[in-house]
Amino acid sequence: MVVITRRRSSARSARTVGSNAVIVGAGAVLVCLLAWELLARGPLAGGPFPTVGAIAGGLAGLAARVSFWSSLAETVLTALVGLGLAIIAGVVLGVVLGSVEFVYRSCRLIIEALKPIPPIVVMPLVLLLLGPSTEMGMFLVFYGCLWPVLIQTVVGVRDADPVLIDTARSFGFGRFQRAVRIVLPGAAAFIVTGVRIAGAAAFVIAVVSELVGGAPGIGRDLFVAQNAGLYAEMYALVFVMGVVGLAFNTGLGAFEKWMLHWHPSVRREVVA
Amino acid sequence: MTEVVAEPNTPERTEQRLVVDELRKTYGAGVEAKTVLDGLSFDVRSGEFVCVVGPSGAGKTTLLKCLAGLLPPTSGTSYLDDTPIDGPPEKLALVFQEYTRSLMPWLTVAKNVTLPLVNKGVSKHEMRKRAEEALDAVGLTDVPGKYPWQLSGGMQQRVAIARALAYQPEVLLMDEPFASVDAQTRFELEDLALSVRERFGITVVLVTHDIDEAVYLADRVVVLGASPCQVREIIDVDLRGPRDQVETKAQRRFTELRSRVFELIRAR
Repeated sequence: MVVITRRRSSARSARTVGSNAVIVGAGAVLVCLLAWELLARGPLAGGPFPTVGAIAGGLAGLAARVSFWSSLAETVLTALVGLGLAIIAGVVLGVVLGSVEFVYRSCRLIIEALKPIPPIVVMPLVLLLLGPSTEMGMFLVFYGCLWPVLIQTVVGVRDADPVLIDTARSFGFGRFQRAVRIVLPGAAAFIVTGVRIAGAAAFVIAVVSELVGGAPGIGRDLFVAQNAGLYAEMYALVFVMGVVGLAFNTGLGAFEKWMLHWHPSVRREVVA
Repeated sequence: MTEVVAEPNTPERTEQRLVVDELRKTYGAGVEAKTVLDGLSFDVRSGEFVCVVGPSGAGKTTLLKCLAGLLPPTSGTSYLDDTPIDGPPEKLALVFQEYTRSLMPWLTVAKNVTLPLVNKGVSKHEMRKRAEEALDAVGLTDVPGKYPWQLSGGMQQRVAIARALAYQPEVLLMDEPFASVDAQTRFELEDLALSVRERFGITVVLVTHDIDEAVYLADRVVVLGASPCQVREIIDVDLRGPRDQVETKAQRRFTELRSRVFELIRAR
C-alpha cells in the first residue's frame, strides 16, 4: 500500500519556527542598527562612521543614479557568468575525471596543487592578460568557483551506485548514456553542494576583482567612494552587497530544492 | 493413401533458450586467485522457469552477472539462442534484489519503467502503452506519477519487474528478487512472477537461497554446491496442478522435493 504522509505537524511547526525566526532576526537587526546609531552619535562621532540615517540617505542617493544600477548589474553579471562557466566546466571535467580512472590519477596532483591558490593570488597575472575589465572579473570568479564544483562532481561520480550502473548496462546503455542518464543525476546531491559553495564565493570574488583589480562594478564604486571620503555612500554600497549576497544564497538554496526534490535530504514525503 | 510424414516437433536445439557451458570464473590471479564458479553447465528451455539455488556466498550473483553479460567469465561460454553472450544481450532483462538501488529516485515510476526504451527507437506513444501494460501486469496502475521512494518495498520491486517487462525480454533474470521484502509480500511477488511468465511467455531464471521459493516457483531447480561452486544436481519439479501457495505447499511431493534440495545443499 502507498502510505504517503505529508508531515503536516512538522511542517506546521517548521512554519511557526520560521515566523519566529523572522521576528528574532528582525529584532537582532534592530538592536545592531541601534548600537551603530548610538556609537556613531556618541564615542565614534566625527570618525568615518555616518549615522544610520545618513547611510539611508546615501542609499537613496545611489538608487536615484543610473550609474549605480549599471554597476550593480555589472557585478551580478560577472558573478553569474563566472559561476555559470565554472559549473559547466566543472561538471563536464568532473564527469570525465570521475569516470576514467587513468585521467583521475593523472590529474589529481595538479588539482590538489591548484585548488588552494586563492583567486586573488592569480589576479596580477589575469590583470596583465585581460586588464581591469569585466572579463578579468569573470575569469577570477570562474577560477574560484571551478574547484568546488569540479571536486564535488568527481566525488559524486565516483560514488555512483554499482547496482544502478549494472542496471543501465543491462539495458544496453553505453558509456555516454550512462554518464548523462545515471551517473550525473546520481551525483546531483554532491554537485549541488559544490555549486552552493561556489555560489557563495562567486559574488565575493566578483566584488574583490573590482575593489582590488579595478574592474567596473559596485566593488570599484566602493573603492572610489572610500577614496573620496563619501562614507555614507560607502556604507550604503556595503549594505547593498550584503543584500545581494543574501539574495544569491537564497536563490541557490531554491535551486538546490528544485534540483534535489527527489533526494532524501530535501524530499518531504516519507514511506510509513 | 499417401504416407503422412510426421512433422517433427520443435527441434531440440531451438528449444534451448539459454545454454551454460563449462562456465568458470576466477577473481584475482596467482596466489590470491579465488575460483567462484567451477565449470557450471546447465540449460534453460524456452518458456521454462528455472530456479538456481545454493548456499550463501556460493557465487549465485556472479553466475547471474555472467549470464547477463555484465561480467566476462574466465573460461567457458553461455549462449542465448545459440549466440555467445559477450555483453548485455538485447533480449534479456535483469531484476536485482536491491530495488531501492536499482530504481532511479529522480524519475517517476512511469519514467523508470520506460527508461530502458529510450535508446531503442520506441515512439513516445508506444512507450506510454508499454509502461501501462507492464504496470498493469504487476498490478500497479495507479502510481505512474509517483516516485519510487513514495512506495513500499514490495511495490518498488513490482516497478523493477515492470521495467524489465517493458523492455520485452525473452529471458528474465532475477537475482534474489524477493529477499528484501516481508513474508506476505514475498508470497504475492512469487505468484506475480508466475503470472508474468504465463502472460508474456518469457523464460525466467531466478536465483535464490530460499529452498521453498525455488521448489514452489521452478519447473526445474539447479542446485549449486558451496564455493567454488559447481552444479550438484538438476531437479525436475513434478508438482500437480497450477501452483498455489497453500495447495502446492501442502503436497507431499513438495515436501519431498524441498528435503531433497536441502540435503543436496547441506552435503559437503
